[in-house]
Amino acid sequence: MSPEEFNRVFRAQLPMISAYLARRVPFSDVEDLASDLFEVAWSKKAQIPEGFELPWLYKTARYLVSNFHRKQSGRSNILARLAEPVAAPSAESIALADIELSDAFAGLNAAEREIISLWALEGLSNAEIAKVIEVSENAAAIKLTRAKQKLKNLLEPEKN
Amino acid sequence: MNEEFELRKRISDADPGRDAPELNQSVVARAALGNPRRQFGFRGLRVAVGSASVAVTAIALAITLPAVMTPAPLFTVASSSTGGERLSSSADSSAGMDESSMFWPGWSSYEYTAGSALSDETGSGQVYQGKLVGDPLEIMKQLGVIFGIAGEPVRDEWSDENYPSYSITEANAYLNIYWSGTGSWSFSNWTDNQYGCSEDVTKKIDEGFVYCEPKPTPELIPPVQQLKAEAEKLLDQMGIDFQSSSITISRGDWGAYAWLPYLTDGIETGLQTYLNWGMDGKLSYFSSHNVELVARGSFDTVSAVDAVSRVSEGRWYGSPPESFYRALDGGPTSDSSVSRASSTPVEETKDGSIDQPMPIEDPDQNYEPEILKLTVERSEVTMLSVWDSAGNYWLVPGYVLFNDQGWFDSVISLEEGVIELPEPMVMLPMDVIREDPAVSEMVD
Repeated sequence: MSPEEFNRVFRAQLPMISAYLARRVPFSDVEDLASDLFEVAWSKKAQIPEGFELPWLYKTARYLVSNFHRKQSGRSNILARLAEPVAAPSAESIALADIELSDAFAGLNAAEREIISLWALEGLSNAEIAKVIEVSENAAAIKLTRAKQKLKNLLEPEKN
Repeated sequence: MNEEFELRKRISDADPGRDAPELNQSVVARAALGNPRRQFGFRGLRVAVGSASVAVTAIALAITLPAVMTPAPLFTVASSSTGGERLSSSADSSAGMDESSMFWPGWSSYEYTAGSALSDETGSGQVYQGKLVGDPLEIMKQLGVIFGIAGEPVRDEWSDENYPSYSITEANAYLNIYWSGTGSWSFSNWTDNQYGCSEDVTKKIDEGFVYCEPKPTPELIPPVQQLKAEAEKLLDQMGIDFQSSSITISRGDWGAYAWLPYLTDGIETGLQTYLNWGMDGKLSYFSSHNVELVARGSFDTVSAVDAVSRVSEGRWYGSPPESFYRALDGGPTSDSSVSRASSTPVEETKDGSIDQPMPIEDPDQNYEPEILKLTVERSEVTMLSVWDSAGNYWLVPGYVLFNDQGWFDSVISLEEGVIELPEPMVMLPMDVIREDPAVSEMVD
């Protein structure tokens, strides 16, 4: 892949990558992480499946965000418990627009928030989510179904 | 309208990324041309200022604290951008990675008082330092043999010298290890079998989305006793220390999962080992750690009454064992099994009524946090997991403080001076505790 082709293919993903990162790290760190991400993409360009550039970018960004948070806090309660990278938007970031949703979102664990975000905010299908979080499509569908049900229960506990 | 669509739309309407910065196309172009990134932009300036601040602080401390009189602290607790109050609170137990409260004041502020039942007795406790055990590549090879994964481990593309990580990737399996902190590793296995869809919840809506609820396969999921036997066999093969009675298994219609506390020399670390079984009844996930504890000495601890004041201060945070969270959630106990009758399929409500989202507040209005007063009614002594500023793992004495609102906070109980605390949280993303390049290295 030539630099020109790389440029053409990946600059189209800039808005989605910026939004993905902005949901998970401070805005002031988005550009640095995006730079890291595209440097990795350039070095691994031969391995990126054609037509799946965006899920690949999300998958790699997930690890970069995870490492970013590790460096910021030096520890991670959730990472220690799950032993896998999780890059989820926080409930507080939702609070500005919808306080009730924010409270319900806070009731989800990080893995649940991540998969809900990939579905609702990044707009990914089950197959794409599976590629991002590196599980089977089966597992992704089940995780998503459970997370959505839990969120619905938190939003409307009386009804559910 | 369809409930799924409503939920998705509601979340999209609250998208925190809608004001994401517009990235210049040079971000991509630089990568392809191999040009180094800007080295003295805003972030570099922050680092430079942070370095200068640390240098000034170090000089001041050298003058005011003669080393011969004051023993050096064991370690510096890692800074947390969310603040210790929220991190250590089970009210937000999933907030371990929440960063944005650094930028959003939060809607509530808590004031804690000690209840009459709390003890005012001081004590002492052992401090342990986590040491990584073994060689990561050898560990990967051994795990590969156990899980049937061939191939040589490779260094991950996101790996760096501070947080090295390695992985082996196959078509239907993945094994990786993070060689920092607790040496956590995980194994994932999946098949290409497409799941069937439950006919009654497969929906098509006008917007073109098709939702498929996976069809449950309880007949393929082994019974709890068999799952436990499989777990114990694997734990024995890996040489992971465990007690059979501490393995908790939850079995459902789409799979099963198990967890148990990670022990080292019989000490419960607060870390967990996890297993998952997929819809086909086969092991789909396994994760654990490679760390041992080295005793660093016994140190005095404060009373539970004195510990209460530390909650609001927000820097004395530590993670308690998982069992405290499970007890709070009312989760399944060991060997529990979820019956089919208790698993309810997703159903669409007939009337489609959904609560309307809260009205959007004026973004220009200054909000004052609501102050909530809490009384800590009882405490439990426990060991808390803490990470230092270099990413190393420690186990220290602490308290879990239960308040009258139904949740708990965990605080380190060591007397002041044994460990060094991070700087109080500030509202700007200033990096203070990290290894910064010299200013001269950042100037082009």
